Amino acid sequence: MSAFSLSDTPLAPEALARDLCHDGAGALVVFEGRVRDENEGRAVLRLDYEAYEVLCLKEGGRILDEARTRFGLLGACGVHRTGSLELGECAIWVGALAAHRGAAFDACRWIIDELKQRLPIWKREHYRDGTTGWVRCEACAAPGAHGHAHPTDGERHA
Amino acid sequence: MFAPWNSGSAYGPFARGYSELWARGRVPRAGGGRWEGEASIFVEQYKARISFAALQPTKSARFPRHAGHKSEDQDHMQLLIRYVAVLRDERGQAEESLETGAATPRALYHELSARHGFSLPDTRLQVAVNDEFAAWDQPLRDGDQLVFLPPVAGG
Repeated sequence: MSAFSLSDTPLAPEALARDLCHDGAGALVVFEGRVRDENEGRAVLRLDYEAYEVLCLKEGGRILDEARTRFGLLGACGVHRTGSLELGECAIWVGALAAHRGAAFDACRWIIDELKQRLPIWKREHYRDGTTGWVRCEACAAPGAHGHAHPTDGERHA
Repeated sequence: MFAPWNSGSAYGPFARGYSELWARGRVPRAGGGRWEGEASIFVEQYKARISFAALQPTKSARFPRHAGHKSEDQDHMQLLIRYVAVLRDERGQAEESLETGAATPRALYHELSARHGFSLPDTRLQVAVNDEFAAWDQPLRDGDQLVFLPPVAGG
């Protein structure tokens, strides 16, 4: 597989890596993003991911195409989970296949960063105290509500 | 890796024929019934329709009264709005069809925000028109489908 996709069932990293193959490839770098038990000081029990599927597939495909061109990749793959995920589950998987390790490392990092910034996917966290929250929406809705900045908000595609 | 409900051809509310039912008000809206076998995310909580994937009805199917001719009055466009994530929570429903005089996505969001009290200002959002990222000031056309996109949080 050399494309971007969404999955509402658990990902199979070994199979995804196996599908990225090319006789000219000397390097495969993969990134596996997992559900963590903490975010911004709050204990997280599980997550829900909601995707705008049509646009996710378009934008994810564009990101992988850009990566192939930019880094001269021999293959690239990205898969994002949707639905409800437990701690430790794989939320996103990225693989970059290249002739040499430098391009593969660089491309994998670039792809995951772009996917996180550009995919229309939303994450709702379920906290240990019984509350839930849409990440980067509710807590951040009030300007100055907390310290960190969101430099990409509202600037993309404006 | 594509879930069958992404393909949109087999089953679920976006299967063929849904648009006609939707237009006639025969399909349950948010808070309504659940379709057997459907894999929509959060369906238990919201009965939400997550995707326009297969919702590509003709304009005449969605808006029968506009069938076959362009809207004569550009001040009264019929638009389809879909709400996702925190906006769906705040709106209390996943989608709605409405008539509006708003000429741009920005004007429409201001109109909706004034009506429903959305917490996010447009400067924190992106907008998609007909399943593609769009500019806030592009002219809207009769039959457009809009999704206002809260700050994304993938990965």
